[in-house]
Amino acid sequence: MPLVLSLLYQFGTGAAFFFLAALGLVVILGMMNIINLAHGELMMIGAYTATLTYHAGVPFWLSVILSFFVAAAFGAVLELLIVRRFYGRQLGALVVTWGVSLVLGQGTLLFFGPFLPSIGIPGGSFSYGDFSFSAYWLILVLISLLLILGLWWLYNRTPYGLQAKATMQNADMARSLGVRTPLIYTLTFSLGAGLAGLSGALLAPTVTIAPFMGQQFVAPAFITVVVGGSANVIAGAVASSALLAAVKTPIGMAFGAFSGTVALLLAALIIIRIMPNGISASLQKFFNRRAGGAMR
Amino acid sequence: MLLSTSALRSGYATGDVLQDVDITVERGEVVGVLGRNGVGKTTLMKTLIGLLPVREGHITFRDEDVSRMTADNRARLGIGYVPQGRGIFPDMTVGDNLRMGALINAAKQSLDFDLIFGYFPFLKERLAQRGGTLSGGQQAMLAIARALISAPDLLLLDEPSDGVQPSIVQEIGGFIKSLNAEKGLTVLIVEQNIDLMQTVATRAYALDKGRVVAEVGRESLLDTERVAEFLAV
Repeated sequence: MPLVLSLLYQFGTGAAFFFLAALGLVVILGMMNIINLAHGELMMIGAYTATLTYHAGVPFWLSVILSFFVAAAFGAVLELLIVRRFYGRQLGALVVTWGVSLVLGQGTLLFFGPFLPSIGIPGGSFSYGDFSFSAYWLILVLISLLLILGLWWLYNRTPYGLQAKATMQNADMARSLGVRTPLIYTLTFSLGAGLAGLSGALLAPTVTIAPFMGQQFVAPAFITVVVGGSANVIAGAVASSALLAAVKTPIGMAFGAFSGTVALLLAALIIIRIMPNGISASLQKFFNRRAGGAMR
Repeated sequence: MLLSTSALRSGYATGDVLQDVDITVERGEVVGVLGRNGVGKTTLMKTLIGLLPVREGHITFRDEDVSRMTADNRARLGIGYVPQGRGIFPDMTVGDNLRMGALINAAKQSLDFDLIFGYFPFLKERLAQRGGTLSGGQQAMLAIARALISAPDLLLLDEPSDGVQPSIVQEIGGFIKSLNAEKGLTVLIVEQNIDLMQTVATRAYALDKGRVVAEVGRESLLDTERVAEFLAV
C-alpha cells in the first residue's frame, strides 16, 4: 500500500512538474504558435520576483501572485515592442526570443549576481511507511488541477476565450467579425508570460534561484506542448504531462533518474512519430470519427 | 447611397491589383461583381472590409469615409463579410462560430438566432459539432449565418457557391433573395456561378484587369451569353 501511494505521488508530482513547466508555453506556443525561447527566462522572472519579495517580508503566497502580474506586465511590454513584429514568421520569432532570453539571463546575472538566497520549501513533509511525502508538492499537484480548470474556463466560457481562439485560428476572419486582434494578441502573450512567471514562482522553492535557472524547464516544457499538440492545447498539455510522467516515474524509480529521462525522450520521440500533430489531434480525430459514426 | 468607392487603388506587396475602381451600392440592392479569375474581385472584397489597405482613392460607407478604418471598426459600423473559402473557424464549434458573429451584435441588442435557425435549421442540431467537420455547403451556410447574426447593413459575399453542390447553391440563392425582399438586406456579391448571379443580383459590375469595364443592368444580366462573356477565360 505505501508503495502504491508513493508511486501515485511520484506520478502526480511528475505530471505536475511537466504541466507547470509547460504552463506559459501552452498559451504562447500551443495557441499563438510562437516558438518562445525566452520561456525559461519568463519563469526566472517569476522566481526572482517571488524570491525578492519573499525575502523582503511578503508572505509566500502573495509573492507568488505578485510574480504572475510582474511577468504578465513584462510579457505585455515584450509583445508590444518586439514579438508583435514577428507574427507568422516563426523562425524570426525563434531568433528574437532567443536574443531576449540571452539579454534577460545576462542582465539578471549583472544586476543580482550568480544566485539569490533560496526560499525554504513551505509546508514540510510527512512520512507513511518507508516513504516520505512533501506537503508542498501535494499542494502543487492541487494547484495544477485548479490551473487546468481555470484555463479551461477562461478559454471555453469567457468572451476573451472565444475571441482568442478565433484570432489564433484565423486572425483576418476574427478581425472582419469585429475582434480587436492586436489587443487579443497582447493579452494572450501577456497571459502566457504571466503563467510562466507564476509557475516559476511556484517551483522556486524546489530549485536553486540563479539567472539561468529557467533553462532546466525549457526542454520539458517544449516536449510537453509539442507532444500535446495544438488541436486542443489544454487537454493536450494535460494528457502529455500525464503520459510523460507515466513513462518517466516508474523507469526513474526502477533504474534511476537518468534512465527515466532517457525513457522520457524516447517516449516523446515515438509519440511524435506516430501522432505528428500531438495527442490532442489524435484524440480529436478519434472523437470526430465516433461522432460521425453515430450520425450515420 | 450605402457604399461607394472612388478611384480606389489597392493590391498586394507584388503590386496594385485594383485601379481606379468606382462602384456604388444603394440600400436594398443586391449588386454583383463579375469577372474572370484573377481580375481583382477578391481583392476588391478584402479592400472593402479592410483586410487590404487602400493605396489611393476612398471608400465611403453610410456617409462616412472608412478608407483608413480597420476591419474590426468597419465590421462594427455594419459591414458583414463572408470570405472566399468561407473562413469558418475549424476547431471551434458551430455554436462558437455563430457566437463570433454575435460579438458586434451584442451592442445592437437585436440578436436573432431564431431567424438564422429558420433559414438554416440544420445549424441548430449541429451547435456542438466542430466547424471544420461540416461539408462545404454547410460551411457556406454557417459563414452566411455568422455574418447575418451581426445584423449588418451590407453583406459582402465572396463566391459563396465555390465548392458547394448545385442543390445547395440554389438554396443559398433562395434565401439571399428572400432576405433581401423581406429584411431589405443589401448585398455585394462576387460570383462565377451564372445561375446564382441571375437569381439574386439586380445589376452587376464587370471587372477586368483590376478595372470596372462595364456596368451590367438587370436585362443584360439575364442574358446568359452576355454574362458568360465576362466570365470567359
